[in-house]
Amino acid sequence: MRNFKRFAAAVLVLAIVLAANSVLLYALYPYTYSRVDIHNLTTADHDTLFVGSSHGKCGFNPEVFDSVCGTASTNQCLGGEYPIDAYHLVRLACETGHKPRQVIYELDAGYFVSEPNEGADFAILYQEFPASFTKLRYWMTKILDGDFRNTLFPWYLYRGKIFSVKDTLTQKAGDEYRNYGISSFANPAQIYHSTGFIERLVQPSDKSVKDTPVLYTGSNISSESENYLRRLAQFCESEDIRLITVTTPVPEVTLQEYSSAYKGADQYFTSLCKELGIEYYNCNYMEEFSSLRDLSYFADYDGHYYGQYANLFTERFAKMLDFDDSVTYN
Amino acid sequence: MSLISMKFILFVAAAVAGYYLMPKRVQWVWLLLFSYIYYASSGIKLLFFLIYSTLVTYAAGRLLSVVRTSCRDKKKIRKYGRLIIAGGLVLNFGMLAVMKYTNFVILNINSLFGTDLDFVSLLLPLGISFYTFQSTGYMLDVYWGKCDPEKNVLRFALFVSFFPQILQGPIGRYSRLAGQLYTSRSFDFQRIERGIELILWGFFKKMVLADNAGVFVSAIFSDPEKYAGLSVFGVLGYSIQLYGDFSGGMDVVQGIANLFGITLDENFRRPYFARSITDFWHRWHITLGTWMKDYVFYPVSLSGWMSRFGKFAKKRFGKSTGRVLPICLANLIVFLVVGIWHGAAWKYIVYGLYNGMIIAVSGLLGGQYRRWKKALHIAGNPWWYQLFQILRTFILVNISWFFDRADSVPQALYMMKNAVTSFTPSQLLTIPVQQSGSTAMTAAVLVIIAAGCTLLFFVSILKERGVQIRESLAMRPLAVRLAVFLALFFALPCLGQPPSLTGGFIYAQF
Repeated sequence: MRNFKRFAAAVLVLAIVLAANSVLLYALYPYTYSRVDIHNLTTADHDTLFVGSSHGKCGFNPEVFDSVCGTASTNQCLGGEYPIDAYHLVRLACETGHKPRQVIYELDAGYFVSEPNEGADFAILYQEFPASFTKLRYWMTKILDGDFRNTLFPWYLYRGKIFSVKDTLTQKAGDEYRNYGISSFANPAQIYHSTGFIERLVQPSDKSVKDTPVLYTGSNISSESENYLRRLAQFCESEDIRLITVTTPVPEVTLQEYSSAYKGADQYFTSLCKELGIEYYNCNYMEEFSSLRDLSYFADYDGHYYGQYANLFTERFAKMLDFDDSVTYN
Repeated sequence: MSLISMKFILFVAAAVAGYYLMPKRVQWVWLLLFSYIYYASSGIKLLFFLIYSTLVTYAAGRLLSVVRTSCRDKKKIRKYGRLIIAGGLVLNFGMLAVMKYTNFVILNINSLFGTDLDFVSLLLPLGISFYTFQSTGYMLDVYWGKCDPEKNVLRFALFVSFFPQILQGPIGRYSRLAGQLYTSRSFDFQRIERGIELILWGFFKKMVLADNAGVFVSAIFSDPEKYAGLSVFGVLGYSIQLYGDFSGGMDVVQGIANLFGITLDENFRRPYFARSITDFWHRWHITLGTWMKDYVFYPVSLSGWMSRFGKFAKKRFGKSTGRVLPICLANLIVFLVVGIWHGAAWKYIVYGLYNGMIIAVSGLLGGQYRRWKKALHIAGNPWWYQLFQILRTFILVNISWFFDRADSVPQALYMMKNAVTSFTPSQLLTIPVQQSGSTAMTAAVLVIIAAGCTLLFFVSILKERGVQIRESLAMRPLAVRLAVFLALFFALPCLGQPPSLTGGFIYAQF
C-alpha cells in the first residue's frame, strides 16, 4: 500500500509536469517564421534548398534565383543554423518526400569555430520539425547533449516571452497562425518573404556599431561542425543531390580588416570541400562579385545584404551557377 | 558528458535501473561498467590516464602487501615500503604534473629566461586532480597500515572511477567508500526519492543561485575597468556563485550516489558561517582539506627536518613562538599545495599562500588575540562576537576570491583597489542578463538571487542549529513533499539561467 502510494505520487508528478509543460509551451513559444519555413519544406517540392546562416537568409532570394534558373527553391537558412541543423533540414526534406535536386549551403566560418549557443535559437528548428525519424535523430544528436531543461521543459528557452503571453495566445488562436501567414513578421527593419528570404531594409541605426565577426583562426575548428558537413556531403551523394557550398560576400572594409582570418577560412573551406568532392564558391575572392562588396550595400559590417543588393547578388550567383554548372572538384 | 545534459540524466536513469535489475553479486560490476562508459564519453583516449592511475596505485598496494607478508626484517620492510611508495607517488603525481603543469613551466621559463619554447599540446584528462588524489590517498593509507590493500583490480578500479564523483569530487577515502561500493542492495523507493530530492536541491543551487550570480560576475570580471565601481559586488557575487556551483554540484553528486545507496563524504558544512580561516577550511571543500591534513600536513609537521626546525625556532624565538612556527610553516606548505592543485597559474599559488599566511599569522598571534579579548572584557563567545568573527572571516575569504576569479594577480589587485576606492551600485542595473535584456529583467534576476540567498541562509541556519531538514521533510505528508519537489523542479527552468551564459560546473575543470 505504501509503495502504491509512492508510485501513484510519481505518476501524479509526471502528469502535473506534462500538463504544465504543454500549457506553458503553447503560451510561451512564439510564432516565428521558422514555422513557415519548415511547413514549406515539408509540404512542397523544391528543386533547390538554401541552407546556412543569417547571411544566407538575407543573401539568397529564391524568387530571383528561380527566375534565372527556372527552378523552385526555398530559403531554409537561419541565424544560428549550424551544420548539424542544416544536415537535419536536408534529411527532413527527403524523409517527408520532398527531396531537392540541389542544396546550396552558405558556409560561414564563424559556425565552424564555435559551438551552438544554447539560447533561444537552439531548439527552434527542433520545435518546428514534424514528428519524424529525423526529429528523433535530431533530438538524439543535438538536444540530448544540451541542458536537460531543453527536453524536460521545452518552453524554458522562451520563458522571456512571459510578458507577451497574451499576444502569443491571441496570435495562435487566429487564422494567420493556422494558415502559416507571414504578415506579422514584417517590421520596419525587414520583410519576411514566403519563400524564406528576409529582405533587410535601410535603417538609420545601421552600422552605428562596428560588430566583430566570429573569426576563423585555424586552431579552433569545431570537429562537430566539420563532421556534419562531411555527413551532409555523404548524404547528398547517397541521395544523388548536388551539394554546392558558398561563402557570401562581406563588405570590402571587413575583408581588409580581417584579411588573414578570411583568407585562412577560404583555404580551410577550399581544402575541405575539395576533399569532400563538393563545389565551393567563395564570393569574397571572385571577380563576379567584386562590385557587390561596398559597405553601403550591407546592413552591417558582418555582411548582411540589404534586400535590393541581395537580389543583385542572387541573380549574379544564379547566372554563375547556370553557366558554371559543370564545375566540380571531383 | 555534462552533468546538466539530458544525456547524463538518461545515463543516470539507465545506471540506476540496471543496478537494481542486476543480480546482486554483480551490482558493483555494473557500476564499474557505467563509470568507465561515463569517463570514455569525454574521449576514449582519456581512459588511458584513468587506467594508468588505477594500475599504478593498485600495483603499489599489492607490492606493499607482498613485501609485508614475505619479508620478516622490519628494516627491509620499511626500506622497500619507502621505495614502493616513492615510486607510486612519482608515477601518480608525475602524470598529473606533466599533464597539468607543463605549459605553466614553459610559460615561466620563457618569461624568466627570454626563451621562446613552444607550448605543448596536451590532453587534460577530466577529473585528473580528483582521482589522482583519491588513489594516492589509498596508496598512503596502505603504506601506513590504515587499510588493507584491495586484491581485486576491478573492484579497485571502481573505487578510483566511481562516476558520480570522478569529475569534481568529493575526494573519497578507501576505508569509507570501498565497502559501500561493493555492497549489494535492493530497490528502495525512499532512497530514490531522497536521492532525487538532493539532486534537485543541488541543481537549484547551481542554476538559480550560481548561474544567476555568474552572469554579473562574468560581466564585472571580464571588464574590470568598465565596472570599476562594482568590484565589491563582483566578488560578493562570486562568493555566491562559487558556493552555489560547487556545493550544488556536490549535492547532485551525493544525490546520484544516494540513488545507489552510497553515501559520499561531506564536502561542505555552511562555510560562510566559519569564524576563522582555519574553521572555513574545515567547512569548505572538506575532503580536500582533510586530504591535505592527513597526507601533507601531518607528514610534514612530524618529519625529522621539521622537528629540527622546531628545536631551532624554540632556541631562537622562545618556547611559545618556537612551538607554533613549525605548524605555521607546515600550513604554508599545505596551502601552497592547495593553490597548485587548483590550477597552473600564479593567481592560484597566491590564493593558496594567502590562505596559508592568514592561518600562520593567526597561529602566531593566538596569544595576543586572547590578551586583546581579555583587555576588551569579552568573556566567552557572546553572539555579537561570533557575528564579528563570521563577518571578519567572510571578508578575508572574499579577498581570496579575487585571486581565484580574476584572470591574473595584477587584475585581482586592481579590483581590490577598486573595491575600496570606487563604489557605484547603480551600475549593476546596466549589466544585461541576456541579449537585449532590459533593466527590468536585470532587476528581476537580482531579486531572484536575493531570494535564493535568503532561502539558503535560513536552510543553513536550521542546519547549523542541528535541524535535520531532509529527515523532517520525509516525515511530512505526501502532499507537502510533492509541493516541495515540484517547486524545486519548476524553479530550475523558471528562475535559472541558460548554460549559454554561464557554462557548466566550475570545479569540473579541475
